[in-house]
Amino acid sequence: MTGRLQAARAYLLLSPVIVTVILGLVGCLGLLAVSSFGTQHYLDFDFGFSWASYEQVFSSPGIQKLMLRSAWIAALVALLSVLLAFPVAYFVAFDVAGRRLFWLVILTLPSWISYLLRILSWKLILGYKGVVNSGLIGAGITDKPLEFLLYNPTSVAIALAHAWAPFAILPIYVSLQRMDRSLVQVAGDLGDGPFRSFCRVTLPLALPGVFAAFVLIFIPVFGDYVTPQLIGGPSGVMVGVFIAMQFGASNNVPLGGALAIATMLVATLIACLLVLGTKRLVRAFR
Amino acid sequence: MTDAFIDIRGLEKRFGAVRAVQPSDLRIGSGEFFSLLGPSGCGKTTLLRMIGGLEHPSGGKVFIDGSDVTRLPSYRRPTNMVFQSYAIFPHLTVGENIAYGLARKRLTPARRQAEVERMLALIRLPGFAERRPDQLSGGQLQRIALARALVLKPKVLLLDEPLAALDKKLRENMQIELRRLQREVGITFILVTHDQEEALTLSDRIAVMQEGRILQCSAPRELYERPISRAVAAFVGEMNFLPGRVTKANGTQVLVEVAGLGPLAVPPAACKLDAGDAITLALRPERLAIQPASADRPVFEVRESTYFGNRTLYQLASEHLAEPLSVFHANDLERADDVFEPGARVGLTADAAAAVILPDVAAGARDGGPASAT
Amino acid sequence: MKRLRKAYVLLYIFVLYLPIAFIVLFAFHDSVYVSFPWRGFTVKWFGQLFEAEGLIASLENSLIVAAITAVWTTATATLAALATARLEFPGKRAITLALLLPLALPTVVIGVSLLTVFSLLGVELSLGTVTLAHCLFCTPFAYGVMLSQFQGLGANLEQASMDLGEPPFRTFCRVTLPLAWPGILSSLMLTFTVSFDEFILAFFLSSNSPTLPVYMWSQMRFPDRLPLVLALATLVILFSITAVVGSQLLRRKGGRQATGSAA
Repeated sequence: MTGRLQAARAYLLLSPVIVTVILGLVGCLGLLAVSSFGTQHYLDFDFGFSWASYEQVFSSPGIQKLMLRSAWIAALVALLSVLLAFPVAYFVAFDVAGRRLFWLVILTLPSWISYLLRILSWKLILGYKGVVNSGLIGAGITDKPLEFLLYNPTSVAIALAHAWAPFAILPIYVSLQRMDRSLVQVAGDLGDGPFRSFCRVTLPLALPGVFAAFVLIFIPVFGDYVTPQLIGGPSGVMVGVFIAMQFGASNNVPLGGALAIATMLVATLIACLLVLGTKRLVRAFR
Repeated sequence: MTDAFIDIRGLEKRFGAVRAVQPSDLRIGSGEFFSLLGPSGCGKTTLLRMIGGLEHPSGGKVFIDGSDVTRLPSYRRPTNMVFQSYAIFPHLTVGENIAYGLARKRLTPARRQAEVERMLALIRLPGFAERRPDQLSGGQLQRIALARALVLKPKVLLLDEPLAALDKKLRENMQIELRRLQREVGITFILVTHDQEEALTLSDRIAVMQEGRILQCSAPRELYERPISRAVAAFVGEMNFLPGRVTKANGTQVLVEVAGLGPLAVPPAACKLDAGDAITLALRPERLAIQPASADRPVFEVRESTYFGNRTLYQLASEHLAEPLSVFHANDLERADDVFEPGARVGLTADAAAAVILPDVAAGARDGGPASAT
Repeated sequence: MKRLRKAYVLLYIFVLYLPIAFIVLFAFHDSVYVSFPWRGFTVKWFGQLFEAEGLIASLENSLIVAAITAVWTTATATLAALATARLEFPGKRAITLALLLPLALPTVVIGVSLLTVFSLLGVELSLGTVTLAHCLFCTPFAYGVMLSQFQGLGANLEQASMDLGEPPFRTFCRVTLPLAWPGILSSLMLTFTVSFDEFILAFFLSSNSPTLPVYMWSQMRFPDRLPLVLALATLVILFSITAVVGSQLLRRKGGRQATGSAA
């Protein structure tokens, strides 16, 4: 089949998804970007061209603080997830020969169970009358419920780390599993002990998966809505909640749009910087 | 035009900057068993797939039985292929596999059944129609792939290393089967293989390929005894390469002085030679005979021997030669002393009439060029 | 070292499932409070589910949206995966990336941008808008499953079919589809589950006809309704587990069948 015929056939087959996903996504994000340049006066929205919303986003100290907090939580969550997941991915890739699928299913199953429910469960566990508190009181360790367990950035981070941890396993596992086992054996044959061969051979080869996992977790967590809304309280608000507010009660579509676009850009930028920075570090180590 | 059944003109294939197949010409006759022989990556499979329509050529044309099929996709060409992996449909029975291509031909179920059984008899697997592929061995699957292709009575059958995955004994049996089948069915077979013994055994003609080029295209005997270049000579069978100098050349004979072997009268070469020219002589190990050492013959020392049952391969070294010579010695099983130990000193005679003059190796990359079919 | 790793993994799994276990546990708790001490075992909350107002309606909504989403995304993603796995065309890398992109964006952003589009176009929010959003969101899942299915299957069998005289469409029907059905089924189950469980997009885009997760969210603010929510959650968890495990088993079967014929 000639190149042109192939391309024509391919695009014919792709047309439905192109319409749904690509046009849909491009259209929406594009429209969002366009509306972010508009102006809104209470309930009246005008398409205009004004940088006002963006100015607000980048100059308001409140928003800056929000972005910072979101970035901090997202970075923490992504880092924790990756660190905690690495030994697990290693285990599945190297320590189990036959039952890999079994372990992978067990480990990734929770990530398929409704996100909402999993965050709800944290509310139950850490709540004022929740499992931890009632357990501690019942066991006689404290006689008043602990209030700091919920409705703060820390609880948000914990819940998020728990929810997103399984997402880090798969990318790292794929990277590790692709590795040629004999490379480690060669390193050993050439004099490296298990720890050294891990640092010099396994880890560098697994890094693409690690970075992928980091970025895959960082960006969505940065803009998460459910967790801060459910268990963040006023001090645990993250950007996602604030964006949603602009399309609801606060009624400020341009601001919401500007925030959304800014969030995506900032999140991507930070993720790339962190990845590049770590790459530099690793290279310096060699 | 041409009376060749399959006529390939300037067929080439490029993958980006890489030339998998250089512009090549081939003419294959009807009913011929033709082989494409070469090492892995030489382009033989790509060439085969272009003939079958599974690969789109970057240039050139393919004619089959007079018609230009270059633009036709595989499902419209009068060719059928047996894949290296057999590609038996796992979700169909043996019978359904064989009858697969018959679906378009609107046969009555009875006719279709009869055809399937005819093929099963041909490949010597009667009664297998209801079996499922996952129960069968490699050799059986290979024959079913053959039957599936042959039932459609194609004008050309293309075989892509069909025996590569089989063990040695089974492979030898299947080679005999393939030859028998081809004779019985009478259609043109084009076989791709990297096994030169297989090519020599089965084919009417062989095209040796290397790095996308056809180096030589001849009958097996001609290929073996008269290779036209060092690359071909080295690829097919064992070969000795002897540097020599021409002392006298006329139309019928060339006298060559070979260091370590003395003067040899060899058949003339394709190119013009003058006294004093440096040439390379190619001589098969079985064209050298070991003699008892004597003063009037050049003396050689046995370095190594490899036992092959009915014959032994000896490596003989001489102070005049840089490389040791390989010599095949037919073992006389009646005599216990027909063995030469390493270190033994022997003489050698050469069957000069079987020697081939090769273009001088100093020309380097000119070994083989796009050769047209002979 | 290896034993240490295994112990770690088991601990990891334990912590991973602990919150879910608590949900299931307290769904059987004979008390409105999710706290110790344990006041007895009961199944009454499950019984009360059927009388809960709006529950059945939201369940129906979820089922409808999930079913439509599953069918649409699987069908379109199958075609797209076929094109990606078998054909060469300009922009291939870009398109593959773009199709997987929705997974990397914060769902909120997708939600609000769709909201903006719909409100600007004057489209009323309804189950239809939710379905559209879900089709967008679930396509990457279906695409991933079908892509790995077709890449694993290899083009050999299809080439053999075409070599034997069957043009591309008939080859698709006689060879590709029958061998790909485990992947298709797996994709259907996966996208159904994802859509069924999806909250954020449904929350933003459904207004008067909530899906089940949105319904659960609305009930969560009532402390006395909590056990009902937990009971519902338990059922949803059970369903999700079954669907995902089934989907994975099917994928495995599809992989095994494809390699059965090669030498």
